[in-house]
Amino acid sequence: MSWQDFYITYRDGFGQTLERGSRELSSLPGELEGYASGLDATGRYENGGPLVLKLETGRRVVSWLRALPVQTVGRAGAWEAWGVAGSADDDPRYWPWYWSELCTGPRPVTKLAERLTKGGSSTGLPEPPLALPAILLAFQQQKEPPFVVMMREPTDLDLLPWVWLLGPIDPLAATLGPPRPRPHASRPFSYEAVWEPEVEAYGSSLSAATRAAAFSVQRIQSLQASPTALDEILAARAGKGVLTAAMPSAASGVSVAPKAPPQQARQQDVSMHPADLGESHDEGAGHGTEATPPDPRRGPQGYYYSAEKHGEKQKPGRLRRFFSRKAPARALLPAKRPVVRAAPPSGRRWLVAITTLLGTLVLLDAVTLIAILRWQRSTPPAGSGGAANVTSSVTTVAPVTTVVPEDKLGVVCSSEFTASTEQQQLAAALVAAARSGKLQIAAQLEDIAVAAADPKAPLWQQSTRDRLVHAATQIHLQDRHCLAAQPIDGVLGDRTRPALAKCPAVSGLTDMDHLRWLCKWLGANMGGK
Amino acid sequence: MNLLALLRSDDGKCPLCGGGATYHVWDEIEPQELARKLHENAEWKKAHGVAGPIDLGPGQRMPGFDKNRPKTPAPQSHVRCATCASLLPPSFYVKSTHTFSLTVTGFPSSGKSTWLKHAFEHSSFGVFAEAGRIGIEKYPYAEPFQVEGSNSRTNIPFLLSGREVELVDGRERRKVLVRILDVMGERFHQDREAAVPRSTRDILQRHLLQGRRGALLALDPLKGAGASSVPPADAAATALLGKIGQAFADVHRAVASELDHQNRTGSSLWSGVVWTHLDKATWNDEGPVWLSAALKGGPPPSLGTLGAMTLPSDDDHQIWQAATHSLTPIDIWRVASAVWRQAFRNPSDYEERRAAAGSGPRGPGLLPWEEVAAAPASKAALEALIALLFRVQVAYRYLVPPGVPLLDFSHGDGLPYIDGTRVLAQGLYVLWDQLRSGIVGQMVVNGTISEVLPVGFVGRAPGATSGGHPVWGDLILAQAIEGSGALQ
Repeated sequence: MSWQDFYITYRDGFGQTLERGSRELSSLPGELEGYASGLDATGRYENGGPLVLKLETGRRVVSWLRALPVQTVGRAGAWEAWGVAGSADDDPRYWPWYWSELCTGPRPVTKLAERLTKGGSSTGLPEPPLALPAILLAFQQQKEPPFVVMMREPTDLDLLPWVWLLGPIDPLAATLGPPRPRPHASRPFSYEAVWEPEVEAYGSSLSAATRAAAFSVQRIQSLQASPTALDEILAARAGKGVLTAAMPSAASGVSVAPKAPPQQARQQDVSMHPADLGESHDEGAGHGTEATPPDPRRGPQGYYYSAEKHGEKQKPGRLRRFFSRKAPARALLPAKRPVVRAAPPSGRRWLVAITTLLGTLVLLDAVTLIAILRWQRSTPPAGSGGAANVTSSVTTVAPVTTVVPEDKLGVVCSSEFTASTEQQQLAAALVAAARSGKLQIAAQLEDIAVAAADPKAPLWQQSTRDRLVHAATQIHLQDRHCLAAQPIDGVLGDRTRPALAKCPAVSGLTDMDHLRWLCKWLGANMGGK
Repeated sequence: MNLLALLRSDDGKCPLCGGGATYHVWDEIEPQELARKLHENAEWKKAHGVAGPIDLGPGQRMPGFDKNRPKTPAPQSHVRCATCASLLPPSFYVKSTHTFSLTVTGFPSSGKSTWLKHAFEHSSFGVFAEAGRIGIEKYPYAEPFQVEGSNSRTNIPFLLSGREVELVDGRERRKVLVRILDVMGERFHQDREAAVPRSTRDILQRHLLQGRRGALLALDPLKGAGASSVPPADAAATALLGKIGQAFADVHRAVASELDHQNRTGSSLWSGVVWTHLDKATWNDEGPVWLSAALKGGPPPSLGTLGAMTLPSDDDHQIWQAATHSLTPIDIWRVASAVWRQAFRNPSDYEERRAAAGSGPRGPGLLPWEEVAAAPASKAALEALIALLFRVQVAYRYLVPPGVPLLDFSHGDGLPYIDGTRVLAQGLYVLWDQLRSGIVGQMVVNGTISEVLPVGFVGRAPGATSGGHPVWGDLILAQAIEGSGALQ
């Protein structure tokens, strides 16, 4: 059975009725009843939320679910749902790309149905929310279900499709949603998303977001850059092997992910491992970042996001293996030609093995030591330097890749990637671009950037940092879509231009267009241009 | 109820799964914990027709699953089915000669759960409750909910609840244990193109067969308001109506056949239609016109006044008393006779039914055929008469002060009034069902369905489907119990 569009609503005298959909789906209202009951029809989430799951009957649904107000239907407890339904073997993994179509109302989601039926790569890339990296970080650190997404604002709903896709579980076994208006029974799922405005939300812990930004952006860019990236990521997450994904181009890979040196950034294919989510987080945590993600299990309401399959607890061992699996060191080294050697005589095998092991350990220690030294050197000491120093650091940064012991969870680290240095790099780049005359940026943003570039100034407040990182992320992601209207000659590198040629034209110039300019400038510089 | 719970019955069975064995549980758990345990119990979910998770909000503690009797004194135990773990109210397993199984069929939002809830509650618009003629004790749980829950629609397809009803007739007090099966309306049209699922019919039959006496009620709502809404809204509604009617007939036939086959002495099945939402009907100008044409000698003034009355609020007592003080059972029987002549156009059928309706001590009965004018009722006139019917029910509270003999169910003078109203309701229902091409009305005509029990609500907010006071809700319950022979 391919994916079929459906719409269920409440009809007086008929109850919950399948208004649109084939006869095969006639039992779907009853199957969704348990998920739909108790939804809030009048609260802040009155517009409902996503529900993506594999039902107990084996049917899969990708849907939007919301309660109907009593004033409309004359009865409490009524609801409506729309979306697509498929069989147990159908692959739902591309649905986040059609998030906007799904959440706009009870209209046929033909594009979603067609894409899921067709499979393969997706087109277009909605903008991931800023808090996504922090949530992924929290999930990664938590390791064990339940996983809870804190919801502060209705716009936080945008988190859910990406958490579903990029979270630390296999989407084929994951359940997402629906919203809950009040404390409910503990669900048979290990992931829950909670809405409780009074509780500190992930969205405000942007230091964590900053630490994880590199991962998130890079991962999402990889999904877009390579038609097969999604499949590879998912396969890797399912424990089928090491992920191999195309690295983002220079223009897109530098503004918030300056961890790769120019030499490595030019590598067309660099192996990534699912556990690389933890590397930057681990690094950031080691530098004393102040924000600790709130207990995601606090609060009784909201969404849930399940890693379990209909009551079957996911085996903890699998998750542990998933996160602690160490990426091969060679994955981050430039590709080498394979060397074919003759097998040593059997009498010498032990000697060769021991020698190789000792050599590897020495090499790892050396690399780790170098990484630590470089990190200490690249971290600007408090009270020294200013905008000029930071600008200099942008051009001289030379990240070093290292491998940390497995028991520290992190696998692959870029020692230069810290919250402060990244932000300062961004800020300095903004200032430099504006002062060089190559770029006009909004005055307000320029003020922020100037202030943020000065380590002495007490400006690393949450709001400043948030705005800066947010702006950079916006720039970075949006320039993947619509940049063709800008005069890019002389600013962008050869690797960026082809990518931009695929983007649709934008109409009118806004502040965001200027910010996109900024991103290109950063891309060109950080990319070695 | 607790004393009765001590008397275990060996023949008690779970109507959901058919299991006969039970076990006691002694603990109580939080609703969230209960939901988790129920979700993990595949048998419970299968028996209750639940496909997804069970979702419970905060509330009082519910019976749990611990079979170990605690050492602390005076624990309260509950009983679960050994097969599907369903929580069984005492009336499902307590040994008694007076048991009564009650279940309902009907549209979604036809008021099944609402009526079941209100039928067992005291109401100022009841027939018996105000006079202390009926006593009701309820088991507080209808797993997974509390009985005193919200007014939201039921989202569990099958719910079991229980009541102990005590009917007082003079010095005689008779207790009946009522087993209630509440069925979610969507279960009757899960597949819009197919018949009512076999599983649903099986559960209905199993439930009715396990009690010595039972009642199968079809709840049929008066849809909308205004004359244009009297006929069926659309083809889909007609199809659904046919499905529910067919399911009702199938279950009735199967249960009756099985009772005959088992030759269970004293067992019987009573069937009736609960005609709900009558408060939505509105009086209009066609009402007086039809009454003048149909009633020889002209209608009594009290009927026209009553039909035009606005449904009462708490402050309208004197107004309604003034409007209804001259209303007599004769007036109601005259209208009922005219309506019946429309419903039973064949004189022989009419006379046969007239004889069955009775006369003498219980009231004047239907007038002879030749004394009733043949004045076809238009749709508008029909709706006006339905509005009048409901106001006749409402007027009973104001016409007869509580405590007077008129309220006596068995021997009082109120019976002609009540019986005339019931006969009027039957005739109006048949006419109304003919207009919408239904099949349930025909069952009333041919006797498959014994009774039409009218019910509406007063004091509801405009557009609301819950709240307010049910009018004559306890009469329906008493009729069903009496009609099934559970008191014998």
